[in-house]
Amino acid sequence: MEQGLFLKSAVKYKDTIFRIAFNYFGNTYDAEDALQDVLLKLYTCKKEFLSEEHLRNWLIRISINVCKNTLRLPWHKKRFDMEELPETAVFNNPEEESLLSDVMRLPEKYRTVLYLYYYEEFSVKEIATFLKVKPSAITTRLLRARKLLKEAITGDNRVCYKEGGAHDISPVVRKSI
Amino acid sequence: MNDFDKYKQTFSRLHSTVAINEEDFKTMKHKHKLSKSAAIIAVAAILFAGSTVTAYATNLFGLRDLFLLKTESEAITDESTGETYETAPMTIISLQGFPDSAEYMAAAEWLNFTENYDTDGAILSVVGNDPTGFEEKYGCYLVYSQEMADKLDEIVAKYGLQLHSAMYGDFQDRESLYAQAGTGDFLGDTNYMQSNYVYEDGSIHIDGYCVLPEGNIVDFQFSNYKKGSFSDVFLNVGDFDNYSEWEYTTKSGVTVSLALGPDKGLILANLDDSFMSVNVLSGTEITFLEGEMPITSADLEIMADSFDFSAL
Repeated sequence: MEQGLFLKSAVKYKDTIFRIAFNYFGNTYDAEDALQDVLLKLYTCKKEFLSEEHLRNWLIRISINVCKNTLRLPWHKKRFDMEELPETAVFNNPEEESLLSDVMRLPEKYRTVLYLYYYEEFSVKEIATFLKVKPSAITTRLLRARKLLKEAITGDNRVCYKEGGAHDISPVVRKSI
Repeated sequence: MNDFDKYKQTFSRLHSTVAINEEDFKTMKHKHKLSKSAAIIAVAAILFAGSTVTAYATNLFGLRDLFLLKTESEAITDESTGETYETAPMTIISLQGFPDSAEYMAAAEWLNFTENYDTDGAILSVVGNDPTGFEEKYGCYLVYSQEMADKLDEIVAKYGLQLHSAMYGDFQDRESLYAQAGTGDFLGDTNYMQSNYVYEDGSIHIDGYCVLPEGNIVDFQFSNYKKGSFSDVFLNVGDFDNYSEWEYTTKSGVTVSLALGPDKGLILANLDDSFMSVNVLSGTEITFLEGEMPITSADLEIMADSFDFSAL
């Protein structure tokens, strides 16, 4: 990608990529690793983007792929720790921090859908395309996510939803195929 | 303020601390390949350290024929965090060919060597991500010491194979990839590429997805390794007993072996001048990863039909 365009695009979308990755991994370290991977793909990309929307959608799709591929690695461990929030995260009030904490306690499959729907404002159909599932599955996830979030916010049952520890599938070993 | 606004406001507080410096990415572009490989071998070394490697009986004409190595589950402690976790047992198969082929035997010998080499990662940690001097000749392989280079030379000479000398990647359209690989249109109308590379001999790797008739999308990793070249790419398939296997003749007239397990499927074909595999990243069960729809044996046959393997 041409230098000026790369820098402009990287600055513009780095937080979007970071937030998607943060929703997948739940920690800054892995999210910033993924961000670097995605930006490197952008830097080496020879594709011509037809519009700003084309670029944005491509970056989001690549971000999701990078995160999913990382999660597939057998040694990767999911973790979320509020102490691992980026140093740059400054909340205006305790409710914001509490909401983030509640969201991040949801299973990952709900977090990503919530983020793409509420923050990036994609439609259910668009999210289904990004995540390669049926739109009905996205609708279901949104409903469940809202329900779980509501329970977490209004109730006292602050459950940390189990997502598993070390993953037990390992599609790729030795060299990425 | 409604919930929607609260959510947006909260997530707007998250910012990356990564500084965007083009020089960094220029450097990363050059180092990327080695560092990625280094990371993979480092973790592989952790996964295999102290593991019990067992021989596995093979049968005829099935997934087991490709068997190379099996490791047992074991507890591993991450020294940086002190946390202990259990590794999944692995059953590694060849993607180069069946046991009577030079490609299989060479891959098995290389795997056996790397399995027992630098098991604690000490050599690799000294090498780090700096240039090793082995990039020019062994750039397509994970070689970071003279001993590894010598062993690889010995193996390819013993089995009469060639080392890959170059790879070309990120073809934006399938026609360019076909031209580089010297194939016809094998992807068909329902398979799409996400990333790809082609070696100088026409060996191909594609990460892509297939759109099934009802709209479900299934990720796959397609590989076609030319006979006569050495490949060090292997695949962990988990427990053989979890797979159902059968032979199938595709619409393009190629007989393939199909295998379907809980979290993956495989389409394999031993072609005249190459060994082809499609690692289907969905199985009969929904895995922990979102977005992966379960597939049936009929879906796997549809996928096999969607490629034209005769064009390879």
